[in-house]
Amino acid sequence: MHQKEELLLKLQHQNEQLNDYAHLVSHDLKSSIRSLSALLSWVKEDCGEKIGEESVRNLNLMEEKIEKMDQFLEDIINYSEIGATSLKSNNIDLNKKLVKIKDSIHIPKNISVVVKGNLPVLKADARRLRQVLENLISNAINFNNKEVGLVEIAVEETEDLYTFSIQDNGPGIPKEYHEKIFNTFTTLGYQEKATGMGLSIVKRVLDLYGGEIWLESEVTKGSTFYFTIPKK
Amino acid sequence: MRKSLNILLVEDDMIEIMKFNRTISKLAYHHNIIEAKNGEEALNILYKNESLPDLILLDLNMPKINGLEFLSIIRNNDQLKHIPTVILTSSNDHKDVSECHALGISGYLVKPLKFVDYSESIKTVLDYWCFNEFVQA
Repeated sequence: MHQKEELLLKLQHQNEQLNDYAHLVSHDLKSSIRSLSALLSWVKEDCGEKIGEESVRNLNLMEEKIEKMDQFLEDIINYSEIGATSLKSNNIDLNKKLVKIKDSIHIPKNISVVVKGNLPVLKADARRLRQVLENLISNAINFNNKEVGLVEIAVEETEDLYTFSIQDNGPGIPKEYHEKIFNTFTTLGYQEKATGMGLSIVKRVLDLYGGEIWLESEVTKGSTFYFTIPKK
Repeated sequence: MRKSLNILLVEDDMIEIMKFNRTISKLAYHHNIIEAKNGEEALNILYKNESLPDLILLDLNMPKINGLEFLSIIRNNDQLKHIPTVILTSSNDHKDVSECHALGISGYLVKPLKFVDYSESIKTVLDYWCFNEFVQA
């Protein structure tokens, strides 16, 4: 018994160290990337005319790569933070919350994001729940390939849990990827800017709540992501 | 009325200092900048200087005395605790944000990736402080 406890403590400690490490490294890399980005923009500003169109185009490509690296590090930081601090219990009015989230996401004109019905007020960690919804909704928007895009959000309440659904009319996801997409760094390659971290962040948060996530999807027609949060 | 500011910039990264200087060199108004490479250097400047800065711009990740330590030292010093301090950092770490606010800060700026955005936010911060009244030391 004693040995088991010791081992558990050791593992817990190692886990914390690993998270701290990811955090630290990401922050250091992030500041280097900031420097690179600034220097690049100065070269463009100061010598754009001298170096010619093609080189400016290459510098622009470098800038895009740097932006992606930055997003990537941001995601790693977010991922490593989950679980490092204990979950808070805030009262959340989902109707208001979703209006806020919609405001913070860039939604192209051809896509509408619709909240169906009146949503409940629930107790959860506001930041974490926001991460989950934000990631799922922005996926539904960013991967959408239809002329008229539609994203529908709904929540169903039963005695012991809330079931959220985020439905889109995007490209759909083939069955063989339904589990794999929740793994860290997995992308399906539809989108240049994807880091492969979004859904693993979502999964990690839901694991903390003892919630589940799954999807139904028809290729070319669209996908619906479902997740649950137990009422406890 | 708009005034010219005395600013203490506490920042260890050479390129960050270049970014800041490039930004203010393009402003219409002139400000006096004193640079310190870390918390220790900044404290030495504050301790020996008779005229204190109007505003401190503070990085968090620094060698020797880091930003949080520096902040806690000046907030506990009767001569220095009134100086408005704005955090300039690349980290939006939740813990850092709440610790800084608990110690007392006048702003917490997460430096944007792109230089144009960075310049814009620095300009906005200085524009605001230009119109403030300061304690005369």
